[in-house]
Amino acid sequence: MDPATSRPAVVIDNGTGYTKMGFAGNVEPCFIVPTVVAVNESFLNQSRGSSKANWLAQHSAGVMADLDFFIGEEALARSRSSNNYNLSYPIRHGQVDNWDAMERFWQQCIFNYLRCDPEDHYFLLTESPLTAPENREYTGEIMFETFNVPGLYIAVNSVLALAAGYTTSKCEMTGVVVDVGDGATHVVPVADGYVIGSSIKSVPIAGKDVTLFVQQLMRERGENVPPEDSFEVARKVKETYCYTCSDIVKEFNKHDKEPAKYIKQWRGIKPKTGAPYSCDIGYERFLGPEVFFSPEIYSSEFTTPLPAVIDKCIQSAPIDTRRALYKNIVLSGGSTMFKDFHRRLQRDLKKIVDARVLASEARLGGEVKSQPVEVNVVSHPVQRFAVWFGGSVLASTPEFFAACHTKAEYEEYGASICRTNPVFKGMY
Amino acid sequence: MDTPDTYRTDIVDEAITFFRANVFFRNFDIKSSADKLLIYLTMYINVALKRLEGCRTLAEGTKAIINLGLEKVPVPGESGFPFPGLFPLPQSQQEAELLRNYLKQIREETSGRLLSVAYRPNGTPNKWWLAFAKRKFMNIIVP
Repeated sequence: MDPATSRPAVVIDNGTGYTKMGFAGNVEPCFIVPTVVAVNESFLNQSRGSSKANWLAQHSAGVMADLDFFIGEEALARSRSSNNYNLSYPIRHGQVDNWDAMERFWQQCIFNYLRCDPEDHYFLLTESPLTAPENREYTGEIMFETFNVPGLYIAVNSVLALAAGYTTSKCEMTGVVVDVGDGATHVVPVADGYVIGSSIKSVPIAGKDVTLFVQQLMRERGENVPPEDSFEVARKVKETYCYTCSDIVKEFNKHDKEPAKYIKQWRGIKPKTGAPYSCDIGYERFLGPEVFFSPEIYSSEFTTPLPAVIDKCIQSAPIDTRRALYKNIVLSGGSTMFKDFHRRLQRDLKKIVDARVLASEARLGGEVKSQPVEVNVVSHPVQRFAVWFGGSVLASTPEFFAACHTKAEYEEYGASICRTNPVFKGMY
Repeated sequence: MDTPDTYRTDIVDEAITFFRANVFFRNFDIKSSADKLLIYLTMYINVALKRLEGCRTLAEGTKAIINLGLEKVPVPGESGFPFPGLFPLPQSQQEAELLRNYLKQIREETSGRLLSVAYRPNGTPNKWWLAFAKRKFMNIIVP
């Protein structure tokens, strides 16, 4: 018996914005850190101009460059305090973009944050439902070759988000997962645990766009924020103060009537000079999250509101699953954390569905009454890291170890064992 | 205009109330001629705010608005009118002048009420309004 199966598996959910990592069986990830790597590139520049004579210096510079890097908050702090470090974001729009940085990132996750020996633990990693099979191969290669893990499972993040409801309610593996992360928004229908691949819809608007919109609004108002810090301030404003409103015109009036209640103050310190500054936060509090419901206020290319996208997604799914899908719409990802987000989504979606039911009844001349469609947007307490939590639940079941790709399989067949994912039945 | 005087709020008030929301949008579902006027007024408020940008007192702002009022008001079919195809073209010179006078009048009325919200009672600019000067309503390049 493999001793690694008696130890808890390591669960790492790499998101565009934040990485959630921890051990299976826990209710919370041990660390939630920004997915960013700071690499020291000064070594490389030094060695470039020198001649062949000091190859030793070159060699050690290369080694140093390989070792001298930081991830997460540390990386952000390093890049701010010194010019030697360059930030690189290994994941863009939910897909791994820079494999070298990703490998470094995993290395620090394992050895510096979780502080475990990767040879002793099974690993559960996540991927977006639109990941190419090649990317899964690369992930497998890095995990088995570099880290020598005994077993690996690459799970689809939306299925994990559904599984997160596993303990909170009865086991319901049919539903639509609305995953709004920092870099990507996906609407993924899942029937009995299998992803309906042809009905996945993506929205090019995600958390980062909310940040950019908040930043733009604050800049337009001429708020006193140092330009080099404005993106970070906008991100923190978004995370702390943004909420979803039911009607933006009413919300403008509320802000005008009671500025003391609605207008918040932001205090910060200028990174270069250390001087304190403060600024007001007003309409961006509700206009930020509004980009999901009226995207045309932010982007001229994409104008379909999120509720309409979800409706389209369910309408394109097999007809016998639709009612069940409307009944269980699960939110996941940090950008669904805005106050009342689920309420607004449910209201807007219900409006679309009811209008369709009414129209079809009118067409039939009122002879046949259809059963009302139940629309239910579920929000649960672990929404922010629902994917990680679902992974933690799955990886603590005994079946998990049987479903993993093992080191022995990898050595026998190669990276191609990671190509297929069992939740996409009959694909690839 | 088909808004009766008996309503407590008229279209100018409505345009000002909805301005901060409407200025973000590009596509409108036009149901009546009042909606077209609302779009025109939203554009005008945007223009007026651009003139107010940089005016640090109510007196300066009032002057800028008076100067804006002296400019020629284009009517549909003339160069400088921002919404091609939104309004029917005037059939005669006389009709064009009538429309021009009407637009002039409603612009004047809007300006007055706009000044009272864009500046605080003590005459300092209200940044919660003047911030919207930076927006480009329906991507119209305002002269």
